[in-house]
Amino acid sequence: MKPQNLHAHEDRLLDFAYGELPAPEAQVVESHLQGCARCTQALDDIRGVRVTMSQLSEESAPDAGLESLLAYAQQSARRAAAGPAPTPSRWRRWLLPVVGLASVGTLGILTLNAQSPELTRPNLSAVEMQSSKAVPAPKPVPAPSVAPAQAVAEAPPPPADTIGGASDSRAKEARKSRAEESKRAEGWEMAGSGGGFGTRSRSDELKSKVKPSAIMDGKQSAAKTEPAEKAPREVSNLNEEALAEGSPALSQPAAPESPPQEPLRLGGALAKKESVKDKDDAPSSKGGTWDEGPGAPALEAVTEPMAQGVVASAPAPSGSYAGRGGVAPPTGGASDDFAQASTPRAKSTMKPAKAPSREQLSRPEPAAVRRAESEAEDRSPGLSVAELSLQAQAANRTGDRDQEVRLLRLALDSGASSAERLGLLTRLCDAELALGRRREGLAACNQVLTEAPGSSAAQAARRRLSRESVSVETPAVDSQPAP
Amino acid sequence: MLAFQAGDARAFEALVRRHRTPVFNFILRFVGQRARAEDVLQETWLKVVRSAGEYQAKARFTTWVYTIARNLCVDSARKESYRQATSLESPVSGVDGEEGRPLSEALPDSGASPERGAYNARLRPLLERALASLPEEQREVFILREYSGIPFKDIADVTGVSENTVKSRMRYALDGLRRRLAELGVDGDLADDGRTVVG
Repeated sequence: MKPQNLHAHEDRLLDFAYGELPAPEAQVVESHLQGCARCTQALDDIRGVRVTMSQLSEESAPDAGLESLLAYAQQSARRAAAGPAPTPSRWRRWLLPVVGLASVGTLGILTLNAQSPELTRPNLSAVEMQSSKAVPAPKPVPAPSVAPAQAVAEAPPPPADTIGGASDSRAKEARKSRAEESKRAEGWEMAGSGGGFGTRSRSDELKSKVKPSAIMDGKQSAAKTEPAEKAPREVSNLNEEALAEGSPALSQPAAPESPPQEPLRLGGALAKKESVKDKDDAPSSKGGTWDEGPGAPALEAVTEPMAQGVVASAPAPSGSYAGRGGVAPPTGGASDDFAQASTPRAKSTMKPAKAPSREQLSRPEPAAVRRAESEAEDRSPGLSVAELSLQAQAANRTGDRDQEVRLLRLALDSGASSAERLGLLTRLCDAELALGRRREGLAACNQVLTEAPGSSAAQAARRRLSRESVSVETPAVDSQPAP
Repeated sequence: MLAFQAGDARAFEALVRRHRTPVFNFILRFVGQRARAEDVLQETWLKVVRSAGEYQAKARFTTWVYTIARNLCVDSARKESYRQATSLESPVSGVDGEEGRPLSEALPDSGASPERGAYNARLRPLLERALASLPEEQREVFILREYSGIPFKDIADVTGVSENTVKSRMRYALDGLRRRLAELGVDGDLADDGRTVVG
């Protein structure tokens, strides 16, 4: 028998042993077994094993867990009897995922927005913008810029007279306190809204220029220059830009002599005297750049001669000034407002400085003034009547009446219209009278009366003339008439 | 089963009472440990309840429930092999190189009655050892056919192999048992009183 046949035969024996063969086949196998000893032996082996292994008794199933199983089945049957759970409608199935996605998306967008630098960054840009706008915009005076000014103004250096008689120890203390203040100011400056570095470098340069005079004056000058060079850098930023850009021609020659700027000159009493004293040293500071010319107000006070010298020696970029002239009105306003803002605080400390400044006004440096005048004349032809008028107005605000007069005359010569002429003449009359040039003032007022006798400007001129006629009767101390 | 699918809980109870013991014995002889067998039995019936909805009338319930039980036994055996715990059937190392007795012989059988104690004490462990010595695929076929009465065709469905493979495994299982029983001294001749003659 072939192996395949053998296996088929054994499979049939298996089926026969386990009773799975149909009756006809079972009879066939039985008949075969009667004549085949080998198959009979195989069947006996199978039956022997089955008989032996059947002795392995059946174990009863444990009852543990049967009740819980039946209870579970009962519950399941109840659910099955109740029918399948109603499936949620399509929109309900989609509702939860869609709402979830939307909320996650919204949260993500909000998170991204919250993490964007525009929101998390401190509002320094706004401060920077304010500080940059502070030049044309008069009102926003940054608080930090006032702080150092206040600090210095509240602790002004002792007047020159008293310093002269003071002991060395007092001067040392003053220097020490100023050094501390300046350190604090530097720290604040560096932590502030920018611009500090440039200011510091500028003030450092100025410091190096002031040094000779400081060395010359010894302790007094040291006490004077330190606050001037370190303290109110933000204030100087404002004013130097305002003066340099807004009215460069005004600030250059007349800067040392303009009374309204005095409140800005911190430590002005000392500074003013010092500036008068140091005027002869002015040429020594020549060679500076134009940018340094306007400087900080405090520095201006101390280094007036230097500033003059710088202005006088610097080549005047007329083109650029013509371009800058348009910025003058807001700049003037800014400086004016700033002067007003700082005036009340400064007045108490600045009072002693006023007298010398008046003297200063009456005695301008002839050479410097002449040079500045020529520069102003060189620059002015490019300006229109309105611009000249605005510059004159700015000069009026800064107290520079000389400059105002010059600009008004230039405006009148530039072909002003009749209405403009009246205004300009009225202002010229005021300026000339304010400068004590009575003759020129009266001439301007008479011109108004001549050109438009019935106008309001003429009425104002009449009133001014009548006041002048009264004041003429009383002895007045007029300064030298203008050339 | 169809009645249970329709929500008749009593039908399920009838199924459990009818098939519980054969299924348990199949499981017990498959895994070889009573505790594990009880766990697998409970798990099997729970699965029957949970999967009642999947049952189709074209298959016999016996085949279906043994399929579930057999798969759970295979899983349990795999887990047990991963644990590498000492099996009750594994021989305990004896003295002088002799093969020791299985652990099941050393443990008392709490389910045995006093009347059958002597019988079990002599024959049952030998039969269990012989059965445990079979490979898993032969053992399951033999148990299903010999003790559970499942036809070869249905065993093929339960185990997922062909009927010829099942019969082949059955032949190997019978040959192996016969040799193993002979080794153990159980010659298959039964005494008149029903007790085996252990040589």
